[in-house]
Amino acid sequence: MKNLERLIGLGLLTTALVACGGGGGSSGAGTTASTGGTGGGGSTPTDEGAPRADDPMAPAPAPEGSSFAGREYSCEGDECQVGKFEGPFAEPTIRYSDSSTGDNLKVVTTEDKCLEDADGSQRCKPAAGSIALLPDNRLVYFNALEGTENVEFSIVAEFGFVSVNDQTRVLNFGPAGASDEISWQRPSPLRGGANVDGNDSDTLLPGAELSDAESTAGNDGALFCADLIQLADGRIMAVGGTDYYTEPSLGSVFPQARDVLGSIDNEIPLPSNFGEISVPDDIGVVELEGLKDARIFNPEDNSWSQTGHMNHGRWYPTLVTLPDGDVFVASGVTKLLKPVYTGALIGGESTGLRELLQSADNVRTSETYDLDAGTWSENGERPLPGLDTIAGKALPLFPRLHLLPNGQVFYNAAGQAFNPFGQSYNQAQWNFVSAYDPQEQLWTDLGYAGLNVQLDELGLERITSALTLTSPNLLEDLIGTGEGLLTNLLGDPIGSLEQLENVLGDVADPQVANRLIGAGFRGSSFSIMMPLRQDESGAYSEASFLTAGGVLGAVAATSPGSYLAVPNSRLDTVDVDADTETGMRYSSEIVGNLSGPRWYSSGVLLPDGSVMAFNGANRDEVVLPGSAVPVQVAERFDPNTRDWTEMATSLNPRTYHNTALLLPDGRVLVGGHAPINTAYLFSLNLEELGLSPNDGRDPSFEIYSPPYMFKERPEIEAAPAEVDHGNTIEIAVDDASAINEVLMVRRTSLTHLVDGDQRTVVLPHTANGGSVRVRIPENPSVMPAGHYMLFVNRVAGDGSAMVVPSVSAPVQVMLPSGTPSMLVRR
Amino acid sequence: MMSCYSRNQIRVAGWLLGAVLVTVPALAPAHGPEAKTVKARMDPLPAALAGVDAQVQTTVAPQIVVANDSPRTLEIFDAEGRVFLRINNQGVLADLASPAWYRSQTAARGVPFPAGVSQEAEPRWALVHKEPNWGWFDPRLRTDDIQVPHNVEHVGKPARLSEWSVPVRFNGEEAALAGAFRYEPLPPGSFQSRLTSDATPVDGVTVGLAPGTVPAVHIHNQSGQPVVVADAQGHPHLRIGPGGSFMNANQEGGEPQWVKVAGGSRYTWTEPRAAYGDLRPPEKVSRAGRRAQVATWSLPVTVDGEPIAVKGVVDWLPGDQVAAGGGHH
Repeated sequence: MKNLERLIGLGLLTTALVACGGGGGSSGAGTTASTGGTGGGGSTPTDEGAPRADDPMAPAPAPEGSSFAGREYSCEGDECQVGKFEGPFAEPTIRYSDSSTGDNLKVVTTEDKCLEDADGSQRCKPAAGSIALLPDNRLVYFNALEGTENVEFSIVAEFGFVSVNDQTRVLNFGPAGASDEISWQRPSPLRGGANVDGNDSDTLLPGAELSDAESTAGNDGALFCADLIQLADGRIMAVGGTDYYTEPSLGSVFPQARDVLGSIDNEIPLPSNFGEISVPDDIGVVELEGLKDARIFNPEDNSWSQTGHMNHGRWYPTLVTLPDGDVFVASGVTKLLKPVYTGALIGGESTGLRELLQSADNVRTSETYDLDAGTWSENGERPLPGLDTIAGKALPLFPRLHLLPNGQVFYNAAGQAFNPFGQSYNQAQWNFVSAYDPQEQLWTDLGYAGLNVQLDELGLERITSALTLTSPNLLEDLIGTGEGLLTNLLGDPIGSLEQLENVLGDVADPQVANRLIGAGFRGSSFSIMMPLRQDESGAYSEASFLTAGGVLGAVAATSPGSYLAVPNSRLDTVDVDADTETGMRYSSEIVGNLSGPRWYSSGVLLPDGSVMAFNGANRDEVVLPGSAVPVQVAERFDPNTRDWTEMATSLNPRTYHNTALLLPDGRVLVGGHAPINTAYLFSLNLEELGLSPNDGRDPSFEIYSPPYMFKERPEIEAAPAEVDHGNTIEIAVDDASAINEVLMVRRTSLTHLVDGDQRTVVLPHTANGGSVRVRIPENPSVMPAGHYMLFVNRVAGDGSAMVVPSVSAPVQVMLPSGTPSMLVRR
Repeated sequence: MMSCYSRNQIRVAGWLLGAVLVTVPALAPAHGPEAKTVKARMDPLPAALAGVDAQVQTTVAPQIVVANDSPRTLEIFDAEGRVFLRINNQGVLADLASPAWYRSQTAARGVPFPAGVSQEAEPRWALVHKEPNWGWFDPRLRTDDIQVPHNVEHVGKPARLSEWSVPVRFNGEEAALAGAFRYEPLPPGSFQSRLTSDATPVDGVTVGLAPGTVPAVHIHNQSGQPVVVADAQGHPHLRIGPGGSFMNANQEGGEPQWVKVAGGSRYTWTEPRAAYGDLRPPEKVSRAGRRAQVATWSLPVTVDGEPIAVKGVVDWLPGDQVAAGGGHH
């Protein structure tokens, strides 16, 4: 079995690589605003002179935050209706040391994404596959799949060796003023610092002849596939990540390159014979092991430090902040390649299915991080050794999770089905939305996603019938009308939804069809929690979630899902004050479709209550790399009309591993991109094709300005920097009587598409002279402690009826224990 | 009460949902190189290799997996007659001077060799694995360049196209791992598990089945009476309601030791007993090209101690038949 697992691993790497993070790249993205370097000319890298000992991007003491005060925004023509994208801009320099630089650094200003060093290695700018907005308005982001730019022949054989821990960066928008002055800073240690002595890898062969644990400092602690979260005090925690190694390998035969990797973090020069090594020493089968690490970024000094380890290594977990400030982590997988879902590949025998069921799953045990102690512990007890904990739950990788206003964690039947070949024997369970009670440490299912559990409208029997096709007559009735569809789908499993709709259109009520198509598990979709609002009694008694696009679960079978990218959207609501056994009731509503199938799109909830979708592709890129067309038109969901409208078109394609988040002034920062080509390297004869594996990773950013940026905006003149739950506060504004809503928006911490803490809370307000008065909710489940952006909005007086938000003010909601505030700036 | 028309609509949509959801289980993922319909398969081993286990497994490319835990050495020859692997109960030795060794590590082509590696170089044997098994990508098993003749593709049935062979020596005796390249088109159909018993067997209890590689069963119990699902040995395994859902931690039999596993009286679990136990239907069934029931299943469930029917079937749904059924679209 072990050997089989090793072999399966080779194939699984492909899905692993595409599942998370970005790859190396070289498609020119120009720089716009930048300091610390001139804008470079054309595509020829200009050397700024002799190697230097100082690093212009080294972290300076007490970094200044960014301020958006005094910015001027303008639009022309259409932009005033649909908004505009500006940029793209990227880090202006590439810095490195190589055999020619001695002890020093070389800093080259270039508009190119990558350049080749003196030893023939590619040095590339990091792309923002994961990004977080800091309390002082700077952003921290990190790269992923670092090292893929230097894979020459076989990502499978080489990646355990050439993979490198991912670099991190801080982005600064500059001081108050009319325009952004964007600059970059480098955290320390640059790559997050985990596992400097090598990971405690769970390998097959701790051996004498072979060093398979491969304690290679250079790639034992990659941030690739770690999730990000904001702690209550404003520091950012990255949890999980990847330990790359080869297993087994020939590491002992060619030791030099391993030594080299160990020095990359410190950027000391490479050994003089580095260029002579023509083949990676660690030929072997790469393994990706989820890390147990959790590391914390401190914005005060741009430093990374380690905190307690989890009990389980997790690759692609999801984090949610709990009401008391502790952090909940679920899912992820420990060894991506071993153990694997092999049963399906052992064809033909009845034992195949048994092996399938016994092979390992994603990590079913969740854990909780104690913020005070800095330690993780498993949730739920194990009634028997070898059994799951009672809180165990079958979840997809990177599940979409949210904190409900009753303090429970809600799973919205979406995630990534990127297990080995996408198969998970228990995928069928992913169809059911569920809530985790941190007090009881138990999950409870609330219903089948997308289908109304009340079933009053359609009737329980009918829905169950539709789901399970209980009636033999059903099939007879339908075969006649549905003929050809099944064949079409099988023959063209990546066929568009139009095909399905065409057939359905003849015979079924579109409403019903839409509901059923959009039901169940959704892959590669965003899940946005709509603004939390009080009911008539003043309680936050429900939460709604918008799921749009992605791929249908089709969790029956194929990997990684059905491939059917869809435009379907639904709005799910959990009533947490219901007269049911659990106190919760789930219901679902079909809302308007996106303009077309939209796979891997990022959703952003704006401070006008609308949701915008950015980036993505029209097909699942895993299926047929190169066949997907990037979707660049941004779309806006209006919660009143329940429909999507097309807005401006972005500048660069950003499909796989893209990011988008709300900036404190109401604009959206869009970044990331690493398409699939990188991962399919293994199947190409690169010598013949002359191909580089690097095409496509995009280190640039764009900024989207929604149309409200160009209206006359309300202004917050003063607001408290720190508040406690239950406080009543005064917010000085320019025109209190015109204020429509007061919103608290939690700062985003995002690993492409998913921020488990994403939340906007509407606070009922009263006008009080020159200010509005609001009360911070008593209930920390509604507004967990942390750093928020306080917005006020009003309806434009120009007849457009546009809801126009202010620039936000920073507000920290304190933990009851009164954790000292950090980086509070006005 | 719903009109017949709308009921039909739901049925249609439901079937189509089923069709969309339950497609070909577990077979060649349609992405990556294994989407191809040409597969490398291994023939039964000759008598000379009794005691050796060998398989072809395909991930990104076909791999040979071999286990030999006897003291008799199995030697693998490369395409030019040079031994590059030796496997026995002491482990696996590889000739680090042999180009085949490097090629065997990866599915990529064009692997560069370090200095000193060539077909003519002196062998340099090293222990690469302490277990008596190994697997490798073998270029002789590559399917990329195998063409499927038009007429074979047209018929659409599995067929043997050509052969492959990897010469070996076992305990000094010459033999071979051999097999064929087969055309194996995706079976034009799928398995569909469905519930045939009443979705509401008793007032307040609803049973649902969610399709999956292995289906999941979902029970929601608002009856106030305990719903108990037994395991294959007949021991109570799950108790759904009242007051939550529970699993029996007592695996021995005797008094159940109920441990709470869900806060509500509704539970979903993966139920292999509702799945078809194989990846392809019986040859006879797939050849017939018609919808056919290939299995029945039944779960031991009681409500307040009384058995209720929770059962269903697994159907094989051939796409061909649907298409042939008459015409438009």
